[in-house]
Amino acid sequence: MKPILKVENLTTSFQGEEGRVTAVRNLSFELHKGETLAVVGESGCGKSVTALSILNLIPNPPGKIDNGCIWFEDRDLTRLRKRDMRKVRGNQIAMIFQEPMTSLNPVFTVGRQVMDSLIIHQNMTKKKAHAAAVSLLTSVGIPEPELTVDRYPHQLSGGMRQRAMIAMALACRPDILIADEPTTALDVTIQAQILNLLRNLHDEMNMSILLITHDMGVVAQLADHVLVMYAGEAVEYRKSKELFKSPHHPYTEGLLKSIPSLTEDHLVLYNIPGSVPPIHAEIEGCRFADRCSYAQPYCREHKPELEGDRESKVRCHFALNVT
Amino acid sequence: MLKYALKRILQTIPMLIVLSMVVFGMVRLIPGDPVKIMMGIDVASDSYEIEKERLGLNGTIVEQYVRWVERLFDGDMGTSIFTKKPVLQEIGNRFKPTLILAVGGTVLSSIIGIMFGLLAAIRHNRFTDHFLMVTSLIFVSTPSFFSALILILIFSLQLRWLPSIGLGSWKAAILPIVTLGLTAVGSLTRTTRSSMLDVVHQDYIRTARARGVPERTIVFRDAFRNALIPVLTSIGLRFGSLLAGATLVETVFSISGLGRFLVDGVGNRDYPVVQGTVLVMAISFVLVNLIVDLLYSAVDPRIKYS
Repeated sequence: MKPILKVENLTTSFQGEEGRVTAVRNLSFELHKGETLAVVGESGCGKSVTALSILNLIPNPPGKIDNGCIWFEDRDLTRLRKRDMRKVRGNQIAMIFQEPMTSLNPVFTVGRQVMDSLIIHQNMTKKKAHAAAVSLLTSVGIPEPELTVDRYPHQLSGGMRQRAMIAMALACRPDILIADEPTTALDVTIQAQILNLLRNLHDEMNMSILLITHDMGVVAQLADHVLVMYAGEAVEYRKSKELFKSPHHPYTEGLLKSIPSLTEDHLVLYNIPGSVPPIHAEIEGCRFADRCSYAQPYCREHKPELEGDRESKVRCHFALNVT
Repeated sequence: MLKYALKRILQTIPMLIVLSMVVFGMVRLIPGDPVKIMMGIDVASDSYEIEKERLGLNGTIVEQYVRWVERLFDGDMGTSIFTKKPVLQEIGNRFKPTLILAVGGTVLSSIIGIMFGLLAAIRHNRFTDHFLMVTSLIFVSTPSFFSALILILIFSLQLRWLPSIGLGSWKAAILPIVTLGLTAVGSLTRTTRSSMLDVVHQDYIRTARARGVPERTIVFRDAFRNALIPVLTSIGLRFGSLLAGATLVETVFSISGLGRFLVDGVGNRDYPVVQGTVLVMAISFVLVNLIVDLLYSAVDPRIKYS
């Protein structure tokens, strides 16, 4: 089956004080219709930059997509004219952000912001859009939608704001929803509600979700496939279930080990030793070698490539759990 | 909101009382005797006393103040020592020119300043931005009497397009208004620019982009509305101080407005004029500030008054 979104060799960099910094290097992946793909990794591994690159929302300057293609409906999004790109944004590909507190415009009502994309992309009249906004707010589980539609963001709780944000993103029934850390800023109980909501809406609308997160718990609940990123590169791509059962990359293993367990008695939580290499450092061998407990001298001299078949890829000379 | 406005107006009353006391005392601290200024230094002592009583300058300063306040409640601000006309009437005559200049200068500087500020913010760090910043710096640092003279030189003397004196016709209002406008344009451009630059990096602007909102709409609707509060403050302050008269510009263009009236009053030790004018200026300043405060809540729904 043809993927709905195909990212090929994406490289995005930023102009920093010490020269250009490559945040995402040579990243390729596919997203299929109805699939939920999670992109996971530590802070600064390039997952958010990947998401922003797809919608061409990288602030330029200082950021820039240096190389690569992003195929959507036989068009390369990186080469789209501004006007055409705008027609994709919020219409066919929508995005929800991490901070529901700051991601809504404080001076406009929630309803007006939900109506916005309907008016822009579907030429709805204000009246029709208002009615549509009420039903959208209902569908994301906001109580008293007729009243909430005319409320301002500061009158809503964090969870309600994130729901409003989702309503806004779903307004035009997009083919792809990019969710950038959708639950990170929320309380645990609200997190579960939002995840449930996303899962239900996904089943209902059969859209594809690109889920950006660092939370393996969120991945376990939503994702079909997982792309693990480390220092701007993809290091492992697997089916979600298989990844949790038998990670191939030592970094993925480390990520899974870092999830605190209730059944085992840990006095000290596990963490991956060391820290992410400075993003501008050019490293000859494997970028994870310095933190890897399995690293061999060979790893520091030869850069591993992302290898494997369509369903399972890993970037490691000595991949784990491979028979 | 009406309740809030009323409360705010009531709150200003003690402030006005203190202010009137300070002004009342201060004009009397200035060396110089109004009676002697008017009648000459070698005035006979009996006619000196009669004149002093006629002007209400007899008795202690407290007695004088109480008398003044009592009359104030009857709508009488006293009579000018110098022109012999009621102060209230004199202020009334001079309020209109001041209002024309203040409103004109504020409107002009707001339009140009906001436009320049937006333009500079959109073209941040590019030529237009740098050019506008240098231009606004020149506007800010040019004294108004100097730009007034330059404008007169060009438009009145050389081109002979506009009159340089008075406020007799709408044409005569152009040069003084432009002068006042130009001085304010600089700071307003800078306020608008920095406020916009602050807002365009906010998350909700990125959200608007992700929704497919056209860039122009983002600037003028999503960003500008949020950037408006500091701009409003700046405009309000400027308008308030212009209502207190633009003495230099009034002087250059020979316009009899409140600013010159006050300065002349101080020069003549015309106590009733100084007291009355300062009181009127203070009240208009307070009112303008109140209006600006009420506008805040119209712009930003997070600001609520209780």
